Amino acid sequence: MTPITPTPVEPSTGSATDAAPGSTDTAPRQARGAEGAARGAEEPARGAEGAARGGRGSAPRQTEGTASPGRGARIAAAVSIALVAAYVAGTLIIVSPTTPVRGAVVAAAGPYFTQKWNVFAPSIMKTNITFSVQAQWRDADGTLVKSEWVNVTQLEQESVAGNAEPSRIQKSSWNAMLAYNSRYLALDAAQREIVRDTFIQRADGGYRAKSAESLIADLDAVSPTPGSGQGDVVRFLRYDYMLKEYATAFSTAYFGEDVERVRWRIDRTRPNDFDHRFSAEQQFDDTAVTFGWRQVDDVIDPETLAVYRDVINRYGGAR
Amino acid sequence: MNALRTTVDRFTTWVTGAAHAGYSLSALRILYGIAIVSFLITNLADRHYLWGVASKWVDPEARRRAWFPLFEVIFTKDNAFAFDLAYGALIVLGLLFLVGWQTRFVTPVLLVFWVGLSTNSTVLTNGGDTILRITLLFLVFAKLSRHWSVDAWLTRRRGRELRPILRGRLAIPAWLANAANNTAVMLCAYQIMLVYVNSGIYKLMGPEWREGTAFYYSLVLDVFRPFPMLSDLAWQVGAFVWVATFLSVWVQLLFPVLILWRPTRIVALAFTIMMHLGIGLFLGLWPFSLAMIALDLLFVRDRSWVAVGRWASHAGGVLRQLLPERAPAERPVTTTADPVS
Repeated sequence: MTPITPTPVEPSTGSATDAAPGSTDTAPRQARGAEGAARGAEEPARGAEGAARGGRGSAPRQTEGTASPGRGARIAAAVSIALVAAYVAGTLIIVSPTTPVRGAVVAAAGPYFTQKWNVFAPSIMKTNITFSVQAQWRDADGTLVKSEWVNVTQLEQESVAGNAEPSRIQKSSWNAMLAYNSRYLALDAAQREIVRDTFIQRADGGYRAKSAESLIADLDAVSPTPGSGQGDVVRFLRYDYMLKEYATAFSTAYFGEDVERVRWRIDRTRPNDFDHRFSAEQQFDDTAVTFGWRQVDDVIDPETLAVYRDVINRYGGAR
Repeated sequence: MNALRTTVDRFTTWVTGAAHAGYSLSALRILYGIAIVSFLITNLADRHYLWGVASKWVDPEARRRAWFPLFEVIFTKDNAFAFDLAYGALIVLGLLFLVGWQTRFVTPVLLVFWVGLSTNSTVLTNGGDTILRITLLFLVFAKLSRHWSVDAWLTRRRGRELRPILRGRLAIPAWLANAANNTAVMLCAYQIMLVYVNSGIYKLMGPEWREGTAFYYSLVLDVFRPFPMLSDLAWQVGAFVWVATFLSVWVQLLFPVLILWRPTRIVALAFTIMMHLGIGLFLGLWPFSLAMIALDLLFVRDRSWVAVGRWASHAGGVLRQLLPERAPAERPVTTTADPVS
């Protein structure tokens, strides 16, 4: 980094510098003393540009700094303040509690201008959450074999310890679990019981996945208000489908088998509270929620599998 | 009426007469550049897992976000090679941005690529990505390479302003360029204040923040422990946890007021910068930390930068004089006259 050395404004280019090129106004910069001088460093080049354009902008230098700005400058200033005002108004509506116009403003802001600044607040996150998967495949005799559990999040977070700036892989299944868990909790008790069960049914002497339609119908039927809570059901099932894909690719790469069924578990561990931080005794019990078996019905493309294998190898999880 | 007219004139002159925050914007460019490039490097090995061919599982959610289609076509999940080309291009753009080469043209392209990468997933983004994305759009209209940049170096060497790509055909009047720059500065300054006040209010609603224990909880989660020993050391001292938590809430909440007066501004900026250095060190969230520090620096005036620069070069000169035996060996005899002394 080069040190800051303010270049003094050359007297010869000074007048061209002070006039805003391309306009008929004089910028009363000299009136602002030290600030203007400090900024002088950036000006000579622009001054040259102004001079090259025939000095249209080099109106006589005003000593008082009261020159009236030109029309273009006025319009630019008005547009500038209008943009800032509109942005301030829009964002304040977004961050405020629900108002009648909030929905429209949020929609207009799109995902680009999200304003969610409740990071670590109001209540700070206190629990670790992890995604563990288990798989089933058929051995040589055609009987189903069950794997041990493998903790995907723990493996991904091997990236954290010892790295000043860890790979973002630290957040992959962690964030997925936070989203999935909140959608699970949005269901009511009877619905939760159904999704903790298997999504596989017998068919023609074999097995196949239950269809999305039948799952929605089943979950809707046990809802206390049938027909009205479908949004929560669909949101949960979409994430459940995504996790099935994630778990399938991961367990296929991890176990190196032709996986037929997968299931997963959310594990939550909570470190002791501040007041018990020195206590060796664990203050909160670990909790686990295990979901039912899901039928694998997609072919995983080999390129994807290779990427998963590479990640598993690099983070030291290979069997 | 006359007073109003004077106010309007003064504002117009402020907006169009000069491009403000020259040094701050240049420092911001460098810090954003480091944040972006370091992010891409640390994720290089995992790129296909996070955003590429192996990240298709997240598409049912990612494709529902309704991003502007341009953002969604750059990073494909169907072809690893095409993805790598885009990823490589993004690294190059980040480096060009960092060194400040033709930023007027590099910045918008960098923005599209940078946002394009993040639209490929919904499970990886945090507040740092959001603040970077929002402000980088504003900064497309700012002058980011006036100092400490290749553009500035070339300008100095040639003695005239660097000719933009397209041979100056896109030349715009200075008052308009100034207005664009200053609008971007105002929007960024407002955005960072909104972040602080908004998260300050949220924190005030949380019991752990009011009690002064929140900092402890951020140190004990596995996902935020790059240096577990350091984290465990930090929470041993109750007073440290309490002071850090308490200051985080109140400096954020009062930030817009504190920056109005120079003495409190220095205190507020010193604290927010230290806080973000702490977040980087303890929680490993460097891209977020660097972006926030860069935005904090927008509140440092050009004349303060110049004063600091003068002080630094003076200190450098003193240092050089303290090491007399090295200097003559490296320099020709004719240039040994030290400009600082």
